[in-house]
Amino acid sequence: MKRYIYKIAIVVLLLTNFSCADLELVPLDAPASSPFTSTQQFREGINEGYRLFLWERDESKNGVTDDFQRRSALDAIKAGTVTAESGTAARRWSYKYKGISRLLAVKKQIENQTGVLSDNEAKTFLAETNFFIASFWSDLIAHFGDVPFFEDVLSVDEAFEIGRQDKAMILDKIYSYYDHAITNLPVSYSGQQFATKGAALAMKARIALYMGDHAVAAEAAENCMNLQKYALHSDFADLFLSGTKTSDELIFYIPRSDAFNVRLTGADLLPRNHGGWGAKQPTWELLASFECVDGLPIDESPLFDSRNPFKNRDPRCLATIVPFGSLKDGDGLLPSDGSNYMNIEYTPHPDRTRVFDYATNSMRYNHDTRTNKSFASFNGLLWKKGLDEVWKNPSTAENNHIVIRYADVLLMYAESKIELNQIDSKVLDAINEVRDRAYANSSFSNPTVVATNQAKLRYIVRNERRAEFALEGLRYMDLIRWRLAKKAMTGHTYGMLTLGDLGTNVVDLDLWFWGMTPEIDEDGMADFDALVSAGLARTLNVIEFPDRQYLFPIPAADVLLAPNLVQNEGY
Amino acid sequence: MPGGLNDVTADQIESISILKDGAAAAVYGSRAAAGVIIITTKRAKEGVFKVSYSGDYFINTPTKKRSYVGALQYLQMNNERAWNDNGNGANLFPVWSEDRIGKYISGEAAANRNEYSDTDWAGLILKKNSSGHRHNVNISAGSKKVRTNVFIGYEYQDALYEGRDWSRLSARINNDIKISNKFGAIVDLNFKSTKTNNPIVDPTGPALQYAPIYPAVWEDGRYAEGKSGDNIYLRFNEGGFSKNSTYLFTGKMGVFYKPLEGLKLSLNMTPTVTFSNGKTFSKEVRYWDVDDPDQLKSGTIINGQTQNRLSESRYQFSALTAQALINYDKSFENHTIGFLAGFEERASKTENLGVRGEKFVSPDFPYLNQAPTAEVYDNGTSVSELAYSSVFGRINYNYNDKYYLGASVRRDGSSRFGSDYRWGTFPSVSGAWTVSNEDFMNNVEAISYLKLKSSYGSLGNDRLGNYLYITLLQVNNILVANGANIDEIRALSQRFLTTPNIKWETTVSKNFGVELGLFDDKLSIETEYFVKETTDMLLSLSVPDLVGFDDPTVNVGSMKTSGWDFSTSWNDTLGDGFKYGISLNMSDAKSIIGNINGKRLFSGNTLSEEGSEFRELYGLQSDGLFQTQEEVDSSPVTSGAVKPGDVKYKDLSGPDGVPDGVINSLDRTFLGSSGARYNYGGRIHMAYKGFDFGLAFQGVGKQNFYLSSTFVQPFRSAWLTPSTEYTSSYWSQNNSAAVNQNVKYPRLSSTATSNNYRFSDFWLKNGAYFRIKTLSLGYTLPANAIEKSGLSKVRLSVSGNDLFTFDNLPNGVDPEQASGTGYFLTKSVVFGIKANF
Repeated sequence: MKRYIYKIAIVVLLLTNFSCADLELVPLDAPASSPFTSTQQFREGINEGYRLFLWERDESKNGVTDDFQRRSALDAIKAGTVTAESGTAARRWSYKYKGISRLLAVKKQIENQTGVLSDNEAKTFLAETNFFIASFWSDLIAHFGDVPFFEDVLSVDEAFEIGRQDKAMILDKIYSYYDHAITNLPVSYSGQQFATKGAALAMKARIALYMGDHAVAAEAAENCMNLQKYALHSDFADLFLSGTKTSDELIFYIPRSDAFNVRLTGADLLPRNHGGWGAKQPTWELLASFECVDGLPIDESPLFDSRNPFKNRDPRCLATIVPFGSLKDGDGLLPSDGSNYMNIEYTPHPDRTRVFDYATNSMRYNHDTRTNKSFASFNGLLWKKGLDEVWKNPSTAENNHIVIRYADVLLMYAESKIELNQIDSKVLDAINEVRDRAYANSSFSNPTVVATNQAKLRYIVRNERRAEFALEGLRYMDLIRWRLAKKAMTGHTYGMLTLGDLGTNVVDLDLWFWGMTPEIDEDGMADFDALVSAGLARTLNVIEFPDRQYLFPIPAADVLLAPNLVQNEGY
Repeated sequence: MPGGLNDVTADQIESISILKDGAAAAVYGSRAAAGVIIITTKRAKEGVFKVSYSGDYFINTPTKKRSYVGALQYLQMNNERAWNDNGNGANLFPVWSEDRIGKYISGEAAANRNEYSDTDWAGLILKKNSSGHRHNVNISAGSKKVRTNVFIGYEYQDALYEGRDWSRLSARINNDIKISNKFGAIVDLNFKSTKTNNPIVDPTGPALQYAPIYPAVWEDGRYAEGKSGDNIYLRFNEGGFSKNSTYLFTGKMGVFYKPLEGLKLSLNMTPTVTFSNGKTFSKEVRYWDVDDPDQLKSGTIINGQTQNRLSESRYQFSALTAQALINYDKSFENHTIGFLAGFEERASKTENLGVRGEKFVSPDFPYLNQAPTAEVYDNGTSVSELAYSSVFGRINYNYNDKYYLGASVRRDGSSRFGSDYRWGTFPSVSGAWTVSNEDFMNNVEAISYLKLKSSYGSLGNDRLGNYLYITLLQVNNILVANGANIDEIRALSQRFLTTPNIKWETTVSKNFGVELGLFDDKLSIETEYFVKETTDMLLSLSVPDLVGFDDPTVNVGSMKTSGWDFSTSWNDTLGDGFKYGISLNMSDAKSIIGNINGKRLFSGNTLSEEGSEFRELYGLQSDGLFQTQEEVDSSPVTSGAVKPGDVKYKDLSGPDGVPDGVINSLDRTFLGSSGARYNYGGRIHMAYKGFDFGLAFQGVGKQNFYLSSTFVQPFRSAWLTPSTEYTSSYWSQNNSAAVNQNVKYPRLSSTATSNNYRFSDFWLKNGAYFRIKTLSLGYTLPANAIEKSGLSKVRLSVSGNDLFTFDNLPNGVDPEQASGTGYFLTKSVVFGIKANF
């Protein structure tokens, strides 16, 4: 028996030793984050900051401002139904914190490295990291108010304990990050265009303005102007097109590329005649907000014709919204006529069941009138800014994702100076520089701004922002910081009458497009209730903006996990 | 050999046994933490030569029919929805004009279907039933030296729409080789190939739900635009295809040596290789305008089919399990001892290769060499390795078949843990007493068998992703301008929080069971009570998003599961050869979270926290529907958009833990178990002369069924028509107050969707059900009738699977279906023949 036990033991030992399974396995298809060992790795760590998802704009499919609507559908922000479970708030929160934590980890590595990076490299890399971190914190405090703040990657335990910090304190930190970036980032690069000194200045101005810190905003904007690096793109409409890859106006942007498979899809924006759905629409309020070429609002200008709403308007109006009807005196166009848009006439007029095809010189079926297609634009309007023929080939549009551009810096400068009541010619020049470019390629010339009254200029610069930046995702934060969101987004969304009524009440009486001119109020906002009362328009949906929505809710998922996170009021 | 249930077909199986207690599963290690199913495949017997064939033909139909309203109701309800959202003003026709609706009412619409469509999408796309067949051949031959069992099976099934099918070819050869009196070997080979074909989309949901008012084809037969270019009929027919073939090879090669009586040394190698090829070709597809001749040339590209795009995927899995075992069994007088020692290791590697080619010029050649060079992209390539190593030992002892004792211990190492936490040791003990073998039981006539058994077993579990203890960087590409050019460069980032100190999860099971046989074992009863305590439970820890990293998997804490199962059967033969049997089983278990350091683990609509059930449903408590504006005004609501006809919720809490007049996430509460309770099943079989009859049923005694929005929510997309279930009973301004008091569903509204369709007990329904799983009738031809044909046995049968279900769910909802949009669950009628040669 003993003999066998002995033999068995030997066999077991032998068997155990023929082991070939290695339990020390490391990933074969991705690096592990031991400390970075090359400049290249540091560069790649910082590159994370340029991921598109970190630079989400304030926009949504159904529209979050009074500039944008999608048929009668409503975003929770306009329905007034934002809750702490809202995806919009949770997504923004989680994305921004991802950006912060990932870049903080890189920052730590830069601070702790010895000998991998030269002093200069380390300084520039640190500055670039600070630019991102500052920008992400800025976005958070602008949307959520006080937020949990940290300067080192959080441990799991800390994440459960952390509370919110005063946004003023966080703003100071943001300034210091930006200042470091401003001091150490180059004005330009010779090759690949990473974040620059100008970008840090412009973004610093933006958060300062959002937080009502006008002195800092004005200074940062002015310093950015003084770099003499930037200039307005000569052609307003061209700046936003897919083919415009670079411009002196672009301060910070993330390119898209068909070749690299980063594209926009735009069927919601394209007219139905071009294979799109025409679902996303500029609002009537936006159309009404553009000045006439005499510089007056539509309810004051003798040049405005409610039957031809695109006639004699700020050229940006026609570059932003697809025009129809007569555009200027003597052009011979009827209110029912359309404009040539990508070689097919665009008009939503109910009698225009056929439109002119400029490519074939013949008439064709009009998909963009509700007479033919029930889901053609509910208010007759379609977006034009940034769209061109490239969009017709599906998923090939590669328009830049513009984060900040020089026109914004000029208008931020003007706005902060106006708010500081430091109104001088430089302020007016900044505004007029933007307006001159707007009129540059038109047959009209800029009705130059000469006012010096603070209230008057405040009105002008705010309206200027709306005209200049429509569809660029800036209107939402503008309305929030001006405390005008409630006013702008309470009431209704509007559209054309349904077909029968449209014929009887509008078209047959020769009242198309708008049966009367809407009143524009002291904030530049149009009121269409009079048209509805007169039976000339209809409401599409009820909208509401409760006060609590001036701040996003802290996402419920985090509040439930971290008991020290106090929810914003009203959620 | 380790594998999945799908790796074998029913006809290959000799027997199935399930090991539930930890002690019994000790040899199977960490993979057995949730129990083991041991499937023994057929092996040949010495001196037997046997050939058999079985074939089935079957017809499948949906278990439940989902139905949706027609054109007119779609138009009216869509108008009501928009009218509700627009404040119930004077305009009753906000989307669809009175004129258009009138044409559907008067029937005028039928004269102009191009303009006033009434498309029967389901009729165009779906078939009434699907069918399939399967054939199995088994050849069994055993000589003294070699015993071989060969199995070959083939099965084919088509589907409820064209272009989708599934087939499987399987083969298994089990060889037992006797080399000498002391040496022997087994060589088993298993092969399986599965092929699937699918159209580019599963059209089931859209076919049922697309509103009939959108045209699929124009009257002249050209493809129409559907809803603004959403035409499922066109996509389904012309949009391309997706296909997949998977090949599985497994084998087991073992030699054993029996140097002396009772001692057996074995060495087993079990390789597994799986290959899978996938190809998805999506084509650019166009529709035509109704009357624009210019468009005839090119048409317009439809939604979802914007270009010719090919995706190819290759999956490769290989694993090798090596095992060395020493068995020693010895009996002397009344004592029997068994000894087992073993060593096992397994290494596996999974590799995925995905490539995508875009903008194919022509749709004719779906191969990557036809893609423009600049349009070829990585489409999901990954590689991952995993390895285990284990040693284990077991000793069994029994005295006179009355008293049993067993003890075992195993030590497992896993590559999923860091080197300091890699190894775990897991002991088990068990005991049993066969009371019926005691002398004092000889006089108890009724009891033929009685055994009491108990065990204590511990097992480790490492079910978590690979490499979690290492900080991994993910690689992404970003774009950056370079002058007027654009460069693509890499970006590195850490996505998950690293958890370097994760270690084995341990489950300790305590089982106590009774096996009882009565009346010569005609009646048998087995029952077992168990408690499982899991410590260092490995779960995804819900961390606040503000940490900036995805939730890590950590050892969160403990959980206790207790439950029981019970089964009984009665088998008997009556005087003239009437055999019958009946069996029943039932089980239940409940898992309660123990100490998890005060953490709360959210997962979907569930929450686990100390004292709660594991993944207990967590949401708002509803309080019916708001009936009047006064009621809305005087109640806490989720937002100002809430109106009469919307779901009302209870204000249970607030920031200070007391009701605060607002409905928000703080008002969520536990809503009950997310799992099925009181699972039961049973079967009845009878045989008389050549006839046999069988019935098997299965059910769940208690279950919360979440009627998710895919089942009932109207206008989830504007072009989807509401279900008849919703339409039959929803709150409406057009109803009388009395009718609205008793409706089942909230009003039509898009604005109120976030209020009405958030997770709450309003959508939890009684999910208990009873299902007749199979019903079968067979006839075995009398031996003398087939004598001359050379066959030894022929059985003909007809049976039905899942033919009848009894439940309390809304119409069209199957209790085993989680979503209201996908492919149907089906029932089948099967005609079968089985012949032995």
